[in-house]
Amino acid sequence: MKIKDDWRYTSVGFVFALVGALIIGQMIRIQISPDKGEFLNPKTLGEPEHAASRRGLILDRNGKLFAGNTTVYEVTVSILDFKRGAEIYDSIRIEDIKYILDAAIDVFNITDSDTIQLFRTEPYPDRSAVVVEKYATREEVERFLDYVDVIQHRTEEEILIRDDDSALTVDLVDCQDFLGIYCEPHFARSYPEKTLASNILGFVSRNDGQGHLGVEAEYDTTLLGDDRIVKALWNPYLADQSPYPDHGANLILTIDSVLQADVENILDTALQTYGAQAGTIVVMDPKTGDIYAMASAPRIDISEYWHESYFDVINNVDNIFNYAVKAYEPGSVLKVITMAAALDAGVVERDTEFLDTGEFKIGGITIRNWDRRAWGPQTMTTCLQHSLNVCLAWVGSQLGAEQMYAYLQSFGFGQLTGVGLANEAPGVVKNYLSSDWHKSELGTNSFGQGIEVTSVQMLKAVSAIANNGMMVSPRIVRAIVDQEYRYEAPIDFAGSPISEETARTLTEMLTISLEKEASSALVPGYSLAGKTGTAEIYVKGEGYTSNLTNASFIGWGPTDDPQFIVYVWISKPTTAIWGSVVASPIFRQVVDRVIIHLGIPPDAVRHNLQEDI
Amino acid sequence: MANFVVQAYSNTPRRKQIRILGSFFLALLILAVLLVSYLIVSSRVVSLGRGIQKLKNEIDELEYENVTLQDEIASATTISKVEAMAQEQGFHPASSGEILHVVVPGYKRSRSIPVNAGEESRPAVIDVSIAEYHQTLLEWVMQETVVFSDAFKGFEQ
Repeated sequence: MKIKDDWRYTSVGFVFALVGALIIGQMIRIQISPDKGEFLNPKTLGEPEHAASRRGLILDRNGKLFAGNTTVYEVTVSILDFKRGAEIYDSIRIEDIKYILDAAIDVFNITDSDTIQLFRTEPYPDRSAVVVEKYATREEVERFLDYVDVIQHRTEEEILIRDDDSALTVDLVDCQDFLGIYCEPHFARSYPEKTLASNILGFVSRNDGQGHLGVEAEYDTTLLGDDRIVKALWNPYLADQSPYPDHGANLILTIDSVLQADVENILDTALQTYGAQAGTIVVMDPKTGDIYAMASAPRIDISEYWHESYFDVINNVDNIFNYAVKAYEPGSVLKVITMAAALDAGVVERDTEFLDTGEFKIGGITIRNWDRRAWGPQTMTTCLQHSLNVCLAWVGSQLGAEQMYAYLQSFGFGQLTGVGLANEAPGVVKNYLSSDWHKSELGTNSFGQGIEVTSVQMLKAVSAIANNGMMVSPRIVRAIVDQEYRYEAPIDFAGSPISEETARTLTEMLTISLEKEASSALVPGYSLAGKTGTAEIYVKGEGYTSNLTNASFIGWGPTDDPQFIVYVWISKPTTAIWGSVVASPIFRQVVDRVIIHLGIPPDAVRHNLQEDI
Repeated sequence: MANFVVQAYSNTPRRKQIRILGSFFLALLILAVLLVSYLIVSSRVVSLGRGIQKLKNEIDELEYENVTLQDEIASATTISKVEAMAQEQGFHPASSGEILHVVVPGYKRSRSIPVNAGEESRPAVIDVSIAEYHQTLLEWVMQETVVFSDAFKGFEQ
């Protein structure tokens, strides 16, 4: 068939061909239009997008940063790129590769023998990506790039373009102009205060990215963000599905960083003065359980936790990283609990008389006083005042095993306090019904031997006495801030192991006891209650020895409106062994700082204020 | 089959032939308009997508920069550095004996307010305007036509 007017069909065909060409042209334009600069590192080109999350911050109660993040770089070199650049594009001289790799070894202090061997083996293997440093600082990367500038004989003009003076020091380092060198920024944990509160914080390992010890371990899942990985990056239609990382939640601690620094200084000085290696001081609010300060020694610089000298502190099986949650035999400070139980059970009263003959036999053993003296007629108050083992063993025997251990349990001994720190020890309180328990232990446990407790357990138990019978659990985390929400940690009242009347009576007894026996613990103008403790340390093969002791002190104040409890434990002091000599003055120094930081006026002023209001 | 269609077409009267051809080309034209419209929309989506990606990269960079700044501020204001600076300027830690407490009648003491204190926080309200489309395709074509013709108004005379 012959169709007339061919030109019309040709024209229509031309129009359609033109439209088709336009469509194809548009498709090509879309494919090639994006700027090269919009893409990430070529190393990750075509890979799923990985949006790094930020680990949550840890702040003190006033917003001071304890643990944050910083930007570091994973620096990778591609030997294959160097070789191609030299052999195909002539953009680098083959002999320069050696100098660049040497510079990497020098700047990043590479000690890995495999990497060093790889970098010094010629001819170089075709390795496309060798990670030379995972946590390079900005300064290190810039120093390395400066070396490469010199090696590659870059012109001053080229260098000046990179070293733009207007660029801020926080701008990301750009390695894109350097053949075969890639710098991927990522977050790393930072601890700007270094050793301050390090025993509380713990640290994040650079090997596994997980929190170890302290708050970092206990709240690891809360602090840890959620990285997102999607394959949508290179499809513009799916750009809105591109990932936003879910950053970790922030923790607000109960710690007051300034008080913490002061208490750490006091502890360090005390260790020097008394020739001790380890110890702890904890300050707690008896009404809320807030830990204001928790100093512990030895301490490490957690911003450089990998130093060999810290290895023993971190990995010690006895958990010496934080002495506040480490169990030990407390000695006479536990007499406070025995007396609280006996008073509450009605076994003894404040003025119950006891004749101290210097010896008390129980379960086939003889218990003697710390000075092996017979103190004669005593009341329960003077028994505490003179810290008489014989008297307290008798009190324990009057109480009986069933009641004694029931009270110890209700005070929370042998159980975790849930303070919020990893590796908290539960302590050791034997079950009086078990086969390994002996009746003599009722006597020794009554004055704090043969029983293991932690400092935070003691604070929890004594909070019941300071707080009119209401016991409160200690807490180290005050709130969690996740995105825009703040979740307050509730105050955990842990029951009332004793009555209000018992608590008041015992507080009065301990106030008198402190005034008469441990004057070095007193702070003028403030009513304080407290008890010293000296516990002999059990040495395998030698038994309990008087040469090695734990010196402790627990005290609180003001007694009519308690706002702080302080626990002091100095392990193995050498210049003096007694709690009254070692721990009491430390308590006074700590209280001196606490009343300033918490703004607690002397009793007289406070009473005037209360009357006025 | 093709021969059958061509033969049927050849046997059709001339006027009818023109009508069929006209309908065919009209359908093609509509298809072409739809394709071009689709391409324009696609082009815009791609541009916006690229824009979003670019913004996200900038957000990532700013996140890194903010973190670095936060770390630098924290490092510059550590307790030990601030204490050293204070001591350099002649300050020393106050002792309890140096503090004078004054009773001010009627004054009620307020405790320091910790960071982020307050009742259960509420999420910040962020006003995000998301474009909504209420046009039909035909209305959109009309609108674009007007925009297109407006662009050439200056050349009418």
